[in-house]
Amino acid sequence: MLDRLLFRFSLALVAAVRFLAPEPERYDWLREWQGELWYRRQGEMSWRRGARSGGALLVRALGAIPHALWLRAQEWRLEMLIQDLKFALRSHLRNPGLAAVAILTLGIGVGAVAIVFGMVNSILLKPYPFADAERIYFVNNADVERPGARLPLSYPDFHDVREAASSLEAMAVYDWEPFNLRVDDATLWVEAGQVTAGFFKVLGAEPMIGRVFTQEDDRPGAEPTVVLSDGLWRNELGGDPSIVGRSIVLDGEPYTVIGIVPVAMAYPSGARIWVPLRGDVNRWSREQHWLGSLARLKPGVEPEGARAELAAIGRRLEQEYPGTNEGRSVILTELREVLVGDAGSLFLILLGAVGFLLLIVCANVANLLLARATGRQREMGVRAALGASRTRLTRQLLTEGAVLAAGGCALGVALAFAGTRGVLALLPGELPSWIDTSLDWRVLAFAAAASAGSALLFGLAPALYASRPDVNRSLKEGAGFASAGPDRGRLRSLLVVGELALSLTLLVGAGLMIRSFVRLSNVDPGFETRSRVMGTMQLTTERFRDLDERRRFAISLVERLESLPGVRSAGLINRFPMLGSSSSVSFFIEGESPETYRTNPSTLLAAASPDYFSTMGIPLLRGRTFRDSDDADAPRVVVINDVMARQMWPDGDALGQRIGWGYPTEFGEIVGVVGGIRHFSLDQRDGFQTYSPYAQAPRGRLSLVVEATGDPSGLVSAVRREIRALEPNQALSEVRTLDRIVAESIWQWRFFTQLFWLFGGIAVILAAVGVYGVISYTVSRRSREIGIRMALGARGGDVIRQVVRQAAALVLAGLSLGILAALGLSRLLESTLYEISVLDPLTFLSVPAGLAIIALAAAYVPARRASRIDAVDALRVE
Amino acid sequence: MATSRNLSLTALSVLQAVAHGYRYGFDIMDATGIPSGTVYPALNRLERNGLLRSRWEAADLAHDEKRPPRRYYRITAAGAEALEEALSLLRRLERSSAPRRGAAPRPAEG
Repeated sequence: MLDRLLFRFSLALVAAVRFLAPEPERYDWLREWQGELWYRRQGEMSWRRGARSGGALLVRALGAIPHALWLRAQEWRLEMLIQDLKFALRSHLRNPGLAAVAILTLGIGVGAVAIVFGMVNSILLKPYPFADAERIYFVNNADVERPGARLPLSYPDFHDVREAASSLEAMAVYDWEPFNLRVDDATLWVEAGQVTAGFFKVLGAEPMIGRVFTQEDDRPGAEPTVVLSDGLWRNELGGDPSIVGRSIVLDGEPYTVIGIVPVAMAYPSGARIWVPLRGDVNRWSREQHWLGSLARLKPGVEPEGARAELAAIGRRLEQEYPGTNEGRSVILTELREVLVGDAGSLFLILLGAVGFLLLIVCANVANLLLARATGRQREMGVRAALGASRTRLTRQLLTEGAVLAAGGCALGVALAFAGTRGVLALLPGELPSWIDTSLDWRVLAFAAAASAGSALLFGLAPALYASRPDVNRSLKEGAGFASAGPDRGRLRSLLVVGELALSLTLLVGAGLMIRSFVRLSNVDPGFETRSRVMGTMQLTTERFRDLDERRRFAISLVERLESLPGVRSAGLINRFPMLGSSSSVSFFIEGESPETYRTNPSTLLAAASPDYFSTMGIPLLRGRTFRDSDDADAPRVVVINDVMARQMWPDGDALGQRIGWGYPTEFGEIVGVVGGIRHFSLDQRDGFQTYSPYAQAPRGRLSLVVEATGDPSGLVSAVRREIRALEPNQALSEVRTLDRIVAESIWQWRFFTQLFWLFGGIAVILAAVGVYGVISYTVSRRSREIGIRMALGARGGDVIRQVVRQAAALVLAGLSLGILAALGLSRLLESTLYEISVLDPLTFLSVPAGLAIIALAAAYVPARRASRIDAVDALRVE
Repeated sequence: MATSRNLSLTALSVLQAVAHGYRYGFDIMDATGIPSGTVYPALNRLERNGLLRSRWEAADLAHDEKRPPRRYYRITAAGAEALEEALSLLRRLERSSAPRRGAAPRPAEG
């Protein structure tokens, strides 16, 4: 019973897929397969009573499909393909304007997609340039009280984990503090990594010259050694290989160069030189979590196995050191998850947006081709009458589409090459060296696939329509007169509706982004930016080990800067806002039990000079700021921001309170309340902020800020000169205006907003062209009817109104669809918007209105033309 | 024009099966164990190259038995020649790649 069913099913299957076989051979193909199946079935029945199962027969029948496809592939022989290609080229050359427009539009679409995909590729897909990068992981502490956070490791914890873990090939911790590199007369600010011996082994970096660190270099008290990056060695140090073995001056002290590594290793934090961390497990505290950590798994070790092992080690440490390690486990995180973070999803959204753009392009090109197909109705009819099969005509049209797609692909790739650089120029600063932005085969393959997909989309509809010519009708009728069936006009209208809907969705996205960007740009950072520049110093360890030296240096630097012509005032701080540098502590109020230490919120901490607040334009709200007399010998004082004052002392009695932090705790009296600033970036609200006088907390990192009376850019060299006069070994980082720092703190918003606008703008232009095309087409098709109506007394205005009304129907349909789509999709942008609802009414009203005006304007042009149709001319067309 | 050198192993197996008297597509599959989706393209190609010839059985015969007609394949003279040539080539190959005394087996060259 089942066998019979399967047999019948096999026969039906072969019959069902017969369309796959090419026409000339289809009959024989079908007969042969059905014959064999049938005979086999009957033959089996007669001599082996169903011994052969219907299942086996069905499996065999499936072979009919590859056979049919094989036959079809034989059809597409090279000669025919060349013939098709020649014909397609000739047919495009006959109408070069249309082909050029189609290729140009396609090129823009494919180029945009390729650019964005190139970025996605660089950031999310390309392997990192470390050997076997998939085996490298970040190692962190997780804290039960702060779920999701990845805490840095303490040095003793690192030591214990490294000793105990058998699944790790190597493990390293690192810190990143810049160095002052003396080169001849100049002193350069150089990003540097302080790393343990295994660091380069974890990253799989082989030295190009010399060697990398060993345990011996990393021992406390070892001779200072340094590894250079290829780039620093070539560009700043002359590129002489004999530098290995000689010494360079870092922070005023000699370090022996032991090796040079490739520039792609610029980790951590863009480091160009590395020195041993030289940690001391006996003296460094288990409570201080401040070291980044990386590990390389042994070959063949599954990440899950390594995770389990590290978790077990973490539990053991919890038991051994409950005071410091309780509630803290040891976790592994993939490189990309940490290095890319949230940016990945933004790029994917952007890729979706350009995907929309490509769809709009396809609709537009399909429209162009449909319009042309109308003109070729007669040509196709003639060819069909002369015996061209429908397959042949379809193939011809698809080949023509493929030629356009190939042209569009080539143009798109060229645009991608040119445009990627332009887009990257929108990003501030340099990308990390391990992100390779060059376009590789993936991008090319993606562009080719996008073009091929587009060719199918825009080529199929016209091909299906045009290849079904009504021979009789198209031969009988003259061209230009109502020759297209009504359904082709409908298809074109549908395409335009789709285009409008897609454009609207894109534009709503762009609108939301710009609304949020404008709102963000108008946020008050809490300090003044105009006419102010800043730069940072890492005080050299050699001279400034002595804290009094630091105090003296700070005082004389401010004095010298303030006496420069063109300087209104100058200030110093160790943690300048919006540079990614911060330190935060849990504090408590004097008199409270230390138990509250854990529950009190933490506060940002910075050490500022007396003039810092006035130079930055941070308003003093109550009390006073620092004075010169708040020096090392004076009682400790602090200034806090208003958020902290309001929240901790709601009754307004913050002044005179004493707060403290750290071990042993030193308390300082709150002497002033200042306005809060946005410390991290414009989009992050200010929390608690506490300032100490620099003289009472002289840190090694020191940023200077200068307010100029006019244009501050002229001050840069003078500032550098003053620093050199005070300490020749002291470098100053790049000097930047505060305007730029604030703008760069929201670069992500700016970047994505700009790209969204670019793509949205292109989409609008394309949609307008689409509306224009369809309305012109209808007008020309109905010129006779319009002519008659004019002859019967209709006025120009009536005609315009009628045509525009038709366009309005399209626009209304497109916009309604678009609003629905935008309502659904806008929530994808939620995480990228700043204090704007994803359903922002202003955007959802103004964007459709604007698009409607543009679309109707595009329709008005052909409508006006229609109103000037001369009745006599129109009727003479026949 | 196909020579014995550019016959694939599949084509060779199919050709040999036909030479041994398996005349129908499904019988050839049974004889060679090659899947159906591969056998038919091989048959078509061999026929195009003149090594096989196919015929349809008489329509009235099939009609009398109320079944579709079957297509059967025969080897041509050129096909028989190509088959013989290919088989002798294979035999030569086998000899040249047989391990010599004292020498480790290694893959045939050429």
